[in-house]
Amino acid sequence: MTDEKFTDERFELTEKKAELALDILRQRLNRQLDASLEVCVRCGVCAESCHYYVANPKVEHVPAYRAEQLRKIYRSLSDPLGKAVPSWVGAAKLDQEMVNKLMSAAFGTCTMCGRCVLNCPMGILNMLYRV
Amino acid sequence: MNNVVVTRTIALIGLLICIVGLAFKINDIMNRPYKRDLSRPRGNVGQSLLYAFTLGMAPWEKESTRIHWIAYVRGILFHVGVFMALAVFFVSPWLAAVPLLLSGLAVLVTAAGAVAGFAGIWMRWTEENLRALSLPDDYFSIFVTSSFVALAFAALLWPVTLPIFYIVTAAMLVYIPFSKIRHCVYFFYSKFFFGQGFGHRGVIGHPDSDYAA
Repeated sequence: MTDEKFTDERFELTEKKAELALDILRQRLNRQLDASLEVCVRCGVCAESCHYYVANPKVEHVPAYRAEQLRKIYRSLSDPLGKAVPSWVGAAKLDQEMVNKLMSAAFGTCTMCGRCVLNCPMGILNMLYRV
Repeated sequence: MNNVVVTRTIALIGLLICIVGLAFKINDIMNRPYKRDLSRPRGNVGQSLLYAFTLGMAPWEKESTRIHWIAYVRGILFHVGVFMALAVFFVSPWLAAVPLLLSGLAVLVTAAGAVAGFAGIWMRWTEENLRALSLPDDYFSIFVTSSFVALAFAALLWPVTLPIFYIVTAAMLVYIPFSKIRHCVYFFYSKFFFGQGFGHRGVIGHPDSDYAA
């Protein structure tokens, strides 16, 4: 999957779309998603469970790395340290680069097979991020 | 008032802050809506929950623990060391009365836990994927917790180190609700939802099914 596919104006992040995206995240933030967003300790043992990673071992194909792109936004919204010292906990605002990464993670490098869930020491429901 | 009493009081205040902070986090998650799985149940959720909290983490069940067996063993030693250090903290006013066999065991466990903890920092920095994933919070969390375990080891052998043990304990406890260490609470939620969700779907915990792990 190449970056050229994201140059279409449909994928351009406007202020209105960013607000809508954050509203949708807030609405969909149920107990299961909250637990999965909070519990990751970034141990990285999910890497080899992912078909994409086994085929092409880049860090962008590690399930925890993909999920971390959503966690960055979540922390900027919900984490006290994420608001006070964003760089300490990796909080980030939603911007065009983040949107591109999220789209690549959700639609380009995940089939929702669930192997990462079975291999995660915490049982993180990584597929929830795609939903 | 001597140093030990003052610093022990500071540690207990830190424990109170930790408990209150974690209570807020539990309140936050319990206020979130619970999303029901409306599909027809295909497995035994009770069995799956039991699996999720027990065998589901065993090397013969989970591929990732076999592939990353060093990290797995290191993690076990570290966490057992943390629990032992917590026990040392709670028993610290009566350390002199602890039987020699128990205190000897505690010395060994905390020593192994501290080594495993500090080794984790090194592993996180040297391994490419882990380095890319890691945040300052990760390094500091492991550092402060490993220091806590190391000082529990020191306190067992040299009670003169109790004041510094209590100060580091207080720092760690206050930091817990704000850091990734709060996974100690969220672990139970995520494992529950994993067991419940995958059990409902018949993926795990089903007596007649084979599953790829």
